[in-house]
Amino acid sequence: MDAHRRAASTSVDVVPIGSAFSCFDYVQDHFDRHNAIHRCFSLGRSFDMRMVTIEDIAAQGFVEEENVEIKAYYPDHQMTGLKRLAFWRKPFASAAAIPELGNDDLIGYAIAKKDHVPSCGTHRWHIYEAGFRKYPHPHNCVPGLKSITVRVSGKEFDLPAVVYCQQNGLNKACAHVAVRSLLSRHVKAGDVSYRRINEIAAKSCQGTYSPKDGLDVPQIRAIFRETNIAFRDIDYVEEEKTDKAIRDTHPFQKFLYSGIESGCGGLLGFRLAGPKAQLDRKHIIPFFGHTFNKDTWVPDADIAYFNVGGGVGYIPSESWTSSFLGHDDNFGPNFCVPRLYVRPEQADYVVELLKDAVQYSGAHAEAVAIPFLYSLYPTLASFAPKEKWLRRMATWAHPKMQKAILRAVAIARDEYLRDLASVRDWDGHGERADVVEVLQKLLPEILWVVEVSIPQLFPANERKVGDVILNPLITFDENNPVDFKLLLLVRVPGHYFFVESVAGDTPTFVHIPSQFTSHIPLLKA
Amino acid sequence: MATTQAFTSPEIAKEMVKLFGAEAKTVTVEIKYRREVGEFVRKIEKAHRDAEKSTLVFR
Repeated sequence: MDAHRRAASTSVDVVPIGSAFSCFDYVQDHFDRHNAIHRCFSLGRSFDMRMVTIEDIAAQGFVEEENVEIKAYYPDHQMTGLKRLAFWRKPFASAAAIPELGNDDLIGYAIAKKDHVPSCGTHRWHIYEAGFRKYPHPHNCVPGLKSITVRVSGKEFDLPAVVYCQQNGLNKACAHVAVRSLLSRHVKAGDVSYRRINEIAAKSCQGTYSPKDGLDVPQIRAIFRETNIAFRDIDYVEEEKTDKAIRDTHPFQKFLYSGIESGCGGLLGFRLAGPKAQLDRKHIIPFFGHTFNKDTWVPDADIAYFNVGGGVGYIPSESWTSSFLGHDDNFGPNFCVPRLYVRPEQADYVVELLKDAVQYSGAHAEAVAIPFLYSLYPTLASFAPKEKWLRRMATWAHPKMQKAILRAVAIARDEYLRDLASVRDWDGHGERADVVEVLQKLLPEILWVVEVSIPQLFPANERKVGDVILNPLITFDENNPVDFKLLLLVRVPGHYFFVESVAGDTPTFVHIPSQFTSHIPLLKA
Repeated sequence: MATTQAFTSPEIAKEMVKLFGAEAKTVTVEIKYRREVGEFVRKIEKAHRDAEKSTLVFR
């Protein structure tokens, strides 16, 4: 599946990046001023790169498969160049020193491919794929980041990165590369070739399929379904035919953020702007990370409150996100796209990828947590005089205040319970092992954990006061959308609540003590 | 991983009562805001269903 990344080289060129080296000159002389390849050099510069290696490699695995596929569409196609570039932060004298280098020395890689198709006037480079590590700043968050194995001069290196891919106008357009970028990091799907993507798209095409013309929404949906990836998506153009307010009531940012926080990512399809933009041209790009700005003014300014409807709401944790991290195949990998930069009227389509067999969106989970959390207020308030952290939480979760901060994370049960068993609250208390054992035995394999925090604590300490845990495997019931079956437990400072029984529409909860009487760290992906 | 319609919380409650004995208490709670939240999540699911009719193309 990754033979193209492990392909043997036929030549290795080692280029030191001294003060005399010019990325502009190099990209102009060797890669026809290719913008996205230049972006790779710029990312290298940002990491203080000292060396670049450029190898000629053979077309193997997916690249070889792509050449066969292009030839079927364009019989005069020839691949006239295939180079693997690797960017290093450690200086070395020659290729003989590469086996001595470690994973941490590698900043990123790019496989640049040149296709020649005389019949359609194509003779150009594109980046078949690239991967660059994220910036080390802890507030540059890429949940669920995995390593890519890439061979350089005979040695394999593991690089934590999200695969960037670029269209070539032959067998793939922006939609193909955006979809493959996210598929490549998904546990179940593994990496998926363009031939496979095109086979699925062709099957769900009405009429003659031509990959260079892109993918429509039913084809994108078919690809996710065929590769067993659960998702929620909204076509805002379609939906506003029956719901004029949908762009405001269900903003695209909530779905992107939720997919990102659960380590799965999301896609945003939008209309291009600018003087040369064609109104009917739509672009789609993948997102996989976000920044976290603990000093943002937005939540304090009272404009971050998210109204679910009817005056019911909360402060979403995404309020502290300034930018989403994603790729744009036109420009290159690892860009920050300001969260509020794409205007609602430009965003036409959003996809939130879901973890494993999860049945509903993170925005859905946060909303469902609200009735359980806020309805417990009278009970929490009755305990609160003696319990200061419960009192603080109850103040913000008061039905008249509704300023609890909620953050939905889809997480494996075992991972959540490992965290619960190992963390300590601010006063040094750990949870009872027998409580964790019962939860291990009875909770489903995957959970929606809606973390509950409060102002000041969330941004400054990155800690929380509670969790509302939902069963993500319960399918949506149109007639009973806030089904009590969804709730697994509520944890607040000093207490757990479990539904014991339901009489009519009124549940009875069992509550037991929790050893956590203050706050504990947020889940880290 | 298959979906499940199991109502798991009462099973956990039962085990916790065994574990905590008299320390486990019960409280009946009137759940508010189900209608408002229900409308919000219904719209997510409707939009997801409607996306099947989409004619958007990305190239």
